[in-house]
Amino acid sequence: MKKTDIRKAARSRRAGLPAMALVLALALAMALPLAACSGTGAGTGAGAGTSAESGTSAAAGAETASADAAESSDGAAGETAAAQPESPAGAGGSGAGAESGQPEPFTMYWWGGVPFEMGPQQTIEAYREMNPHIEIEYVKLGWDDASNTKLDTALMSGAGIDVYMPTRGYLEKAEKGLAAELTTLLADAGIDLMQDIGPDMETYMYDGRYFNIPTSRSDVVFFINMDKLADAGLSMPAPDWTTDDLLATAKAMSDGEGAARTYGVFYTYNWGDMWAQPSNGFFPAYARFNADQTEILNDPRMLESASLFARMQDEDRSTPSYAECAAEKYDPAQMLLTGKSAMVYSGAYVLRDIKNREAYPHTFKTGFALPPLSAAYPGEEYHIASLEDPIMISPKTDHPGESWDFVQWFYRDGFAGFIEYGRIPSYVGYTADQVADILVSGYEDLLDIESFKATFSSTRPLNPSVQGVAASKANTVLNQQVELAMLGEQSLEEALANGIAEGNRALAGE
Amino acid sequence: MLKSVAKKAKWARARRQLTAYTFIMPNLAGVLLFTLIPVAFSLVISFSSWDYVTPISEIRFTGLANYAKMWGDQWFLASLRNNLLYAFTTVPAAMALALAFAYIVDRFCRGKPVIRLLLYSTNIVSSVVAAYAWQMMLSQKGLVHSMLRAAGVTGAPHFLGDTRWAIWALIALAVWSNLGYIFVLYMAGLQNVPADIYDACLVDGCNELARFFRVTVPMLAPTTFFIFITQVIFSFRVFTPVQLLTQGGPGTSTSMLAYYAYISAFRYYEMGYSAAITWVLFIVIFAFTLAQWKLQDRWALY
Repeated sequence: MKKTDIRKAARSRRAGLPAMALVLALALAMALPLAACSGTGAGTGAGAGTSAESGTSAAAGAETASADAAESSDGAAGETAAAQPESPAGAGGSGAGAESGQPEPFTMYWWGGVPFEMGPQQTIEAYREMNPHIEIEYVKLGWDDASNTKLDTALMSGAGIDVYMPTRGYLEKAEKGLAAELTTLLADAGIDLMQDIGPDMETYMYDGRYFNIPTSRSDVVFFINMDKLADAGLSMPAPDWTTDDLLATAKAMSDGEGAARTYGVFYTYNWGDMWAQPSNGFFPAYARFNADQTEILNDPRMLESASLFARMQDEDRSTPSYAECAAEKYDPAQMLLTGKSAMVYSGAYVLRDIKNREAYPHTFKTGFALPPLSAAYPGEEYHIASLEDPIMISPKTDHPGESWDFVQWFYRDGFAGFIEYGRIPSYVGYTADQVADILVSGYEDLLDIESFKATFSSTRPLNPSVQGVAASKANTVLNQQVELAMLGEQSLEEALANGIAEGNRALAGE
Repeated sequence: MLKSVAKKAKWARARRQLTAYTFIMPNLAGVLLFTLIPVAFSLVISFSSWDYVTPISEIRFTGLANYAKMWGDQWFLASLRNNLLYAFTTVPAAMALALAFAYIVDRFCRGKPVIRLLLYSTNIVSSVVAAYAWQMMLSQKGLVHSMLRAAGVTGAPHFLGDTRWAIWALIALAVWSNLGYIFVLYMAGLQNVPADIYDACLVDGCNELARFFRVTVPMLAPTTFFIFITQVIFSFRVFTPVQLLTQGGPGTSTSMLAYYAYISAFRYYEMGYSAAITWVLFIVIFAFTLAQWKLQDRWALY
């Protein structure tokens, strides 16, 4: 009895062991792909490995630290990289290669929102001619929240990113510690951005320090269909035209009914603040904040701007209503180039679509004008132009020296390839004539070079649209309230009072 | 002796269980790692002001501040209101329509498989494609406006750009895309209604309406209950059409909790606040589900 018992038990145990082994093997086999998925899926797991490898092979002082140490002291690693990258002339970075006289080849990762063939490709080719050992891989970013999150995650992990041009939240990157500081580097290289780019550079500094170099400048101007203007018997607006002129011009060029109606003017709907754009010439939208962006002030020009828009929308019907824009998802280039609107107020990027004959076949010439002034506010003259496409360095790059070399070449000489595609350089080394020649060349039948030069080299004070996270949310809630008023849900006065109150709550973090 | 047998049985059972657990371990690990742990983590950060970019070691806890501030946040309140309206119109409307279709098709139509396939196809279409198709249909030059014009209606509203209409456009889209799925479930439910009950009803002198309301509807109660619960949960989580068609606008008239949570986290870096919003969303869904569970005893027949 006992014997058989033991034998049975032994047999069952023997049978149990292979079963258990099989189960474990199966489990392992299933877990492996799972682990692999999680690595590649996030796009960071695999990258972290390569970054650790290249970090050690670069053998550049601080970077020899183990991957673990680098991982655990995120913030500290960022600061060291930011504070002491090698000077451009420095010999570091290419360790072993320096001995043989041949720099060691490596890949530099450059993230940005500009389509590859609209500048980055030309820039990379030009740079590779001078530095054949540097392979540059361009990672195209979208212009939405999800892409920004992807960029943030890459910057946090530090893998596969050296230099980047964020598509939103330029100052946020510095605010959140995701950009290497450039102040010392600039000083060491003898570069003064206030000279190279202009005094507007100040708004792009964070905490009085440099973290980015905006490479382009996007002027927000009127794009005017000159054929429609001539048909209405009007001539190009004078440089000091007023909102009264605007109302008359827009009304004269509006025509038709219902879905077939064409409008005199279209403000850029997807910026969320159509109501504020009519006053840009005498009260730029971002002047509504106090100096340190902690409060929205109730300036009477806000009501004036909203009233101007409401009049064009409701009485003159010279601009499409909020409701129509929201339902139809109107886009500036499409409005202008399909003839739906005679004038469009938008950013310089519309130039790219005007030049795109395939996507937008059209025959009329586009002229340009600055935003109108107001007779009620003499002496207040502004122009909206933001500095865009800022180039930044990842604080965790394995190649700080080479990245900095690239950055300082890029915003000056390296940007030449972008101009043709409608990006106007921020660097003052390019004259307005030079830019106009490159940009308009071959498109003289579509672009009016005279008004182009006059408008894009305006001497009016600029008003860059830089804002922090809180200010951006405050603007959004203010815009929501005014939008409700434009749709007839409340009066403009109520909308502004509510919007300012809600906006200020957002600014206070309440 | 008895003791040792019991012990052995216990050991064998434990080992069997261990084997079973080992089998499901890979899945379990996945669920733990990618679902349960993040869920628990979201609860933790909902009590903080974390922005997801600063290292987690520097997280700053703010107690119930996130949960307190949302009741004064107009954007959040509008999202909650819209969410309730959306869920409690979409679900009953889609269910009523689907049941009517299912009954008519089941009772009077030939070619059931073809009709079922056609109706179900709205559910197969990617939600992104469906959203864009609806945007085109609702635009000024689209199908709906053309039909209205043909019928002599002038001055039809811009559906997606009007505070009064935009949410109804989203509701219509949801009803359209869920209809097929609910229809298929009801069709399956109808097959399970025993024919003898209908016969008994006929003997008692039922007309068509009585047949439907006295037999079909009560007999489908379990199906209805299942559909209602899953659809309410599904409707509360709506995100895609909001993101694609209205971005919560005009104003905040179509903002929903999932959308606002997403915007808070990934546009405004308020990960803690966003987590708190999703937990409120969870509590709302949970409360409704629980209430329905309690109520089902009253009206379910099984």
